[in-house]
Amino acid sequence: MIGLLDRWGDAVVAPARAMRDADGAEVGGRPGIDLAAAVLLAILVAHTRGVVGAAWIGVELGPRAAVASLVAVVTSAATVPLVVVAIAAIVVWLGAGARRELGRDADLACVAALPPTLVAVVLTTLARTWAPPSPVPLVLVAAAAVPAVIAAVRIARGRGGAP
Amino acid sequence: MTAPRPRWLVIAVLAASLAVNVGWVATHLAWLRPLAVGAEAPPFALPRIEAGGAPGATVELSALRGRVVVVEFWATWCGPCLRALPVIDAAARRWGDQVVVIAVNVDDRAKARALFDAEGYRLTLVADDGETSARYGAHTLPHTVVIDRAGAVVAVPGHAGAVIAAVERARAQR
Repeated sequence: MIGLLDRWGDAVVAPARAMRDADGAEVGGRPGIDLAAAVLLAILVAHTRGVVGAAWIGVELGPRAAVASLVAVVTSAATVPLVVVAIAAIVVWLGAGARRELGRDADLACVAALPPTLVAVVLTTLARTWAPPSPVPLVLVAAAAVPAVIAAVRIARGRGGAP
Repeated sequence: MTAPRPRWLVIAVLAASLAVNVGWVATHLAWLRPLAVGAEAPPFALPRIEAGGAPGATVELSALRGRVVVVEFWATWCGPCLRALPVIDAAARRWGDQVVVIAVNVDDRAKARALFDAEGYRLTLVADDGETSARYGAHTLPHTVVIDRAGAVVAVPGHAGAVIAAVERARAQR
């Protein structure tokens, strides 16, 4: 858990270091697991009422209704990170030029989705607590990914080996 | 020497968010109670939205006893809401005075009024107060609740077709 929090913090304040760490062949797949864990944490801390509501629905109305409610919560929390991963993966893959490697580029994209996930936690909490149901400002969330994506492209372009 | 890892930033954000949300849950447990079919509909008094988004006369649920009531929570940014509104508006015209459809806008009053005027919707347009949407469990949009003549929840349908079917059943009840 501490390792995840370290890497998540790095992606926010030191994206170049986070990308260097994530681009190593020995950590293949770890950024994806990190992102999944980060989304799970985001659901628990920022969508607490949705989780509690779904559990209560499960008790009173049955598991089917609870699953539908939980799916809505998970969809709401996971959409932004998944969209960022998809877009970032394309940008990094194209930006890496001759040194592109799909698997490693996808790993970097997963790291790039960590800052927006943290920003979404803050904005979701603010929006749900002090305003009626309202959309999280997606521009702010997406902007949080920009420094990480730029760092990812630089790291990908600077990979060793034959271009 | 490597710089310290900024894990505390993440921990602080997650902990603060968790504290705020757990605090909200602890103080609003009644709002999270599932709106079960058969339960009495939570009372509300919401202002009509007039031209330019100005608040108008208050619409009270208690004043609508004896009529079937549809409470539709929606937002101007919500695509599925915008697709459901014309369907429900057309049905409401057929139902006439026996059924009151209250469209509760949860985001932009002025934009909502402009949309209703542009589309010619005759539904009763009111503004959410933040509390009503929460008490009716409008965590996702659109969210619709059908209330019978006695003031009890008879359905929480998931789409416009189910809304119309639920209203038809409620109208048939004596």
